[in-house]
Amino acid sequence: MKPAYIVWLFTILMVSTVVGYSQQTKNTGELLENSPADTNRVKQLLKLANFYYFSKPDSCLAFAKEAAELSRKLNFTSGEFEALTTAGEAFRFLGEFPQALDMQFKALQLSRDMGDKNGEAASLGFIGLIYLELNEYREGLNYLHQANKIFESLSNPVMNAFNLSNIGNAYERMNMLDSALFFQQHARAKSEELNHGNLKILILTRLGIALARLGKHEQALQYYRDALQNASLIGDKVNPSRIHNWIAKSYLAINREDSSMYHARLSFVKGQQSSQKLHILEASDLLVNLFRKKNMPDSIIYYQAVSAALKDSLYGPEKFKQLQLLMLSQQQQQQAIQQEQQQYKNKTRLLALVGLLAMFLLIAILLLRNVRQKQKANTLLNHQKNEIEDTLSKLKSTQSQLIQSEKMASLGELTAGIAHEIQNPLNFVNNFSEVNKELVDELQQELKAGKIDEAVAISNDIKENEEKINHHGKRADAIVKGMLQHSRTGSGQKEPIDINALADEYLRLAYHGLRAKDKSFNATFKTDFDQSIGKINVISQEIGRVILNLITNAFYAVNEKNNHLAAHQYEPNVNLSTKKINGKVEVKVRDNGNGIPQKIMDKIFQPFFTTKPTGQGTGLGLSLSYDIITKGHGGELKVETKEGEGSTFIIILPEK
Amino acid sequence: MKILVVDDEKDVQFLFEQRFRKEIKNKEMEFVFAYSGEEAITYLNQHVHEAVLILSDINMPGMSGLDLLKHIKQKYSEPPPVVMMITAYGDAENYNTAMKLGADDFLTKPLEFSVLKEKLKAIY
Repeated sequence: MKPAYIVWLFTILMVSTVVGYSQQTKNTGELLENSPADTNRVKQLLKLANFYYFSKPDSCLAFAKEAAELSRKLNFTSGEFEALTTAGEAFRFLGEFPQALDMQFKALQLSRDMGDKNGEAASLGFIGLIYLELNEYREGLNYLHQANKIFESLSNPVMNAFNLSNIGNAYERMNMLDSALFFQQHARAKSEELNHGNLKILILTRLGIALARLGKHEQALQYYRDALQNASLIGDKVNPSRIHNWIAKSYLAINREDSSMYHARLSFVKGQQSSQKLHILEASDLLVNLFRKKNMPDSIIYYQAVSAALKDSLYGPEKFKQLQLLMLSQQQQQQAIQQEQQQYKNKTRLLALVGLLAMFLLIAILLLRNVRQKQKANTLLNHQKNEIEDTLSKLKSTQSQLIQSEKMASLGELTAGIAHEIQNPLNFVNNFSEVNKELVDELQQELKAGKIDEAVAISNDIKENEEKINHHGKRADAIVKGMLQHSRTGSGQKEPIDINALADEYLRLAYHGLRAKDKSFNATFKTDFDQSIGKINVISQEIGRVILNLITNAFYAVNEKNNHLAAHQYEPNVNLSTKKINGKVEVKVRDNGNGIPQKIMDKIFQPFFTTKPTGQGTGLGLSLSYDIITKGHGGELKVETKEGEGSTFIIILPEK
Repeated sequence: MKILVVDDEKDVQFLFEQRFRKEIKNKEMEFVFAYSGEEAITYLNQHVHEAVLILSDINMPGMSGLDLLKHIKQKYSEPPPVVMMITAYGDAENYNTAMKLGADDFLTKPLEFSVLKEKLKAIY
């Protein structure tokens, strides 16, 4: 489908040879009567409309309207567009501007629907022209510039030149003459190489008008004549009436009234011939003016009447009403478009909302799934935790069993030591009891013999031996008890204990115990308790045993030293102190005895190691103490010593 | 016959005096006691060749019975005194060491005095 503007240009060529084409037109008319209501009929109708484009705008309009109607029924969009464009131009030529605008806006909508850029630009251009005819210059220029933008991008020189000229015309009407002249010259330069008479007529005429407005009438007349020449070349019947009008005006301006009158009359006649109401109106007004100068009342009245009738028909209240209605419908259309856009926006928004909702739902489902998985994981973790706890308690019991069996193993390794410790007292028990048996026999013999003194002596021996038996029996008992203590699994519970009170109690127990056994024993003791310690969590009987052991050792050490020195040379002293240091509690037992020789330092915590004479110590005290402090309470047992000056045993316990 | 008994347990003296009451009364045997290895050596130095028999414990503070045995067997070669070890440690290691060092006999605690008496009588 060819765009309308090309048809429009070709039509002008056809007009020049009206007679030659009359036969063809008749044929078309005949064909039309017989043709069915299809796209071919639309094309034939359009052909006819184009034939009458300039010569008979009303006929053109009739055919175009029918073509538009039929196209709409057939949904033949491109046909409808061409028909509407043609009808719009026909309305414009007839001065029916509201209808013209109506047609062109419909055509514009169709071209946009089709995505036809050339068509869109043409429609915009025609709309611009109609607004210019209505003296709405700004609106007109707006549409023309829109059209120009599209034409330039399409590199369509013909329509580009035409449109540039229209823009120049708009500026001319706005009295911006320099701009007008610029755009017309620009248009003329574009049209120079083209072979389009009608385009040239238009541009030349407008150049003339612009120059005339600038007062350059001689130059203007030159262009008008060029335009007329081009018009006669292509047989243009429409434009000459107007060109003659301009020529008349220029002649009037340079005071050649006769020439002016001549051209004004020509303009009027040619306008009537081509049914150009505007042209007739302009010619009439000019003639009224000219006849007034010649003082010819009849002619004045006649042309005034013609002018008034035309003005009423062209710009009458009816027209404005229609225009307003059209503008209203245009506004409504735009509103409808806006509404549609709004609806689209709303729809989009709704869709977006639905999408968002769906997304939230998805997230919620995912979160729910996550929560469930976490719950599952937690259940699994709990299960594993229980298993681990089970394993841990098994491990703990195994560990305590191991500690126990280690103790038993260490006892096994020390069988020889145990044998010595037990067998030494046993040696005495066995042998003294055997001796006593013999002595009892002897005693009986002496008694039978009546030797009382002998008998008493023997019975004294028996008593003495009995004491030995008792002593060594107890010694064996103590050894066995110590061993049992060593191998016993800790059964005492940890509880908060005032360590100061505990230490003090065992210090006194140890001192009085020693005093009871050995009347000659004497030593001074000092205490230095840190009252800020408070209670600490320990197994009291075990810690008590350790403190007792260390204090007894200390008293033993000072007593040993005292026994080897002369009176007043030495003052035996034992110091007991407690102190809180960095969350730990320190219990110090210091003596000023002989100290521990360096060579036995690494043996003092070994089981059964003792420096005491055989029978006085089991050798288990420090070994047990070490186990109680380190293994039982997670603390430390350290010793500092200097030979000849004394020893200090330090218990370090964690506060919590 | 003079017998030197070396033991850190002081009750040993009392026990021997009770056990060999008759022999002591009949002057068949004479006992001297030392409570450590060092004491035994001091006695031996002061009373050369007096003691013909030495009965020694092994496990003693300071000089042990084995140290004493070694010392006696090295120093008093002519005539070497009879040294019998009496110990609660009846294990093979102690026994072998004692024998290697020249111990004449090895008895374990608790001591069977009847056995000891027989052994002593066998020597004389």
